[in-house]
Amino acid sequence: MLASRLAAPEPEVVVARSEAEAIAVFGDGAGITVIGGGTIVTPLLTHGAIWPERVLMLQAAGLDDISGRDPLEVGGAVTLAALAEVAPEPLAAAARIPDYEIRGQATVGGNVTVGGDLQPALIVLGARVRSAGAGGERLEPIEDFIAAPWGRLVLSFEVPRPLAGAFVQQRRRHSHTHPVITVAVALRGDGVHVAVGGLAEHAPAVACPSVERALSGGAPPREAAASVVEDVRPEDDPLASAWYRSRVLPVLVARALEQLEEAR
Amino acid sequence: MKFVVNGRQHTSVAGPLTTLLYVLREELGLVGAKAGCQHGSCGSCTVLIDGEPRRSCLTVVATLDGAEITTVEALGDPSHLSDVQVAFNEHYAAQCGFCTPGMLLAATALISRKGRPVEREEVVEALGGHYCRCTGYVRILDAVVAASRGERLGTMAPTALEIRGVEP
Repeated sequence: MLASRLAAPEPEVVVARSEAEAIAVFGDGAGITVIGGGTIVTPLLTHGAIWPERVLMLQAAGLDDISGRDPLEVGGAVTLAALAEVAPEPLAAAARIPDYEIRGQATVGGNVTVGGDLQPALIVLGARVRSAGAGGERLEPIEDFIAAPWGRLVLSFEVPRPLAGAFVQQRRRHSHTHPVITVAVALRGDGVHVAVGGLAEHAPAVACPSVERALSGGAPPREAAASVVEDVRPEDDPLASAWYRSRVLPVLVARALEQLEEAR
Repeated sequence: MKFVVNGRQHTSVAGPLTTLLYVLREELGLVGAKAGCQHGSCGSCTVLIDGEPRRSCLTVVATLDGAEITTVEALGDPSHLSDVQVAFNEHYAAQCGFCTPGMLLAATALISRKGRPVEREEVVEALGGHYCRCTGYVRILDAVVAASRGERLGTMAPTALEIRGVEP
């Protein structure tokens, strides 16, 4: 890796000065690496794990605005610290990742693209993602976006405001690993929505229709939470085993639903 | 790329994807910021960028146009330590010292941000991204809380320079 890096020319670095310029430079995403906050990409560059031909920097592209109320419009390069200040639950809680310094630098676009803590919160809120890439700009539900985020440049999020929300997470405290398990729940006009993340390393978060159906059928939180195992396929990874995740998930879902009861 | 380091204008010749940590240590000889994990987890490279604590190992030169950077070298010197540095000394909050520059800067920023005495839980939250393998953290928390209250024990241990009889 080091030899190829020494032989490779310096990457071409473009600091985009507007959203339009960022979209034009990104093109179809081929051969380009995007730096939003830099918390994910910078170590890869430093340690020689990647050595791209071109790098697009977003810090001056005007993608860091937050506006509106319902829906909340959140730019792709908004930091998690800024998001935590204004977002409704469970999104605000999800944005309070460790640590203070990382929250002030990491961006929403990067977190969602790499399978971070925000995904389940955005799913239960019914958020939509505006992105650019091959085929042009598009606006799509968060679940469609996270199923295939590569080759897309995140421009902004539309986040509807729920009636109430709650967020429960199992993670190694103050560590920079992905969470072991994340549960987000929200009460919207059409009922309670439930989603979980952290099912495996880099696995996208998923909605939990079985739990939602049980709840709308009148099941109490603990009973409804038990059906979460029908909605997910946890895997073994260095953080936890599939067995552990399957055992802990219903407990955390029940806890989140109980917190939602208190919040409404 | 031009930015200000400890009050002095600096024009970096490093490539745009070079980390600030590398620029500070190799280009400017400011070795207070430590190269620990170099992926943002340990906190030892923390400096202030426009007054906010940031990981210099995660910050590339291309993002620093016009930024004001403060490193531990600008907090105080052996004869004029800052309040947080005095508190670390009095409470014996440093042992090997590797995490100390990052701890000092994050604690200084916390106290300045709050503008009032801080609670222990606030210090835990603000310093949660800083690993210390020597002290067990208790004395660090004591020191930051004391510094925020303006408390002095009057038990300053001699600095390494004083022990060696070197005039600062």
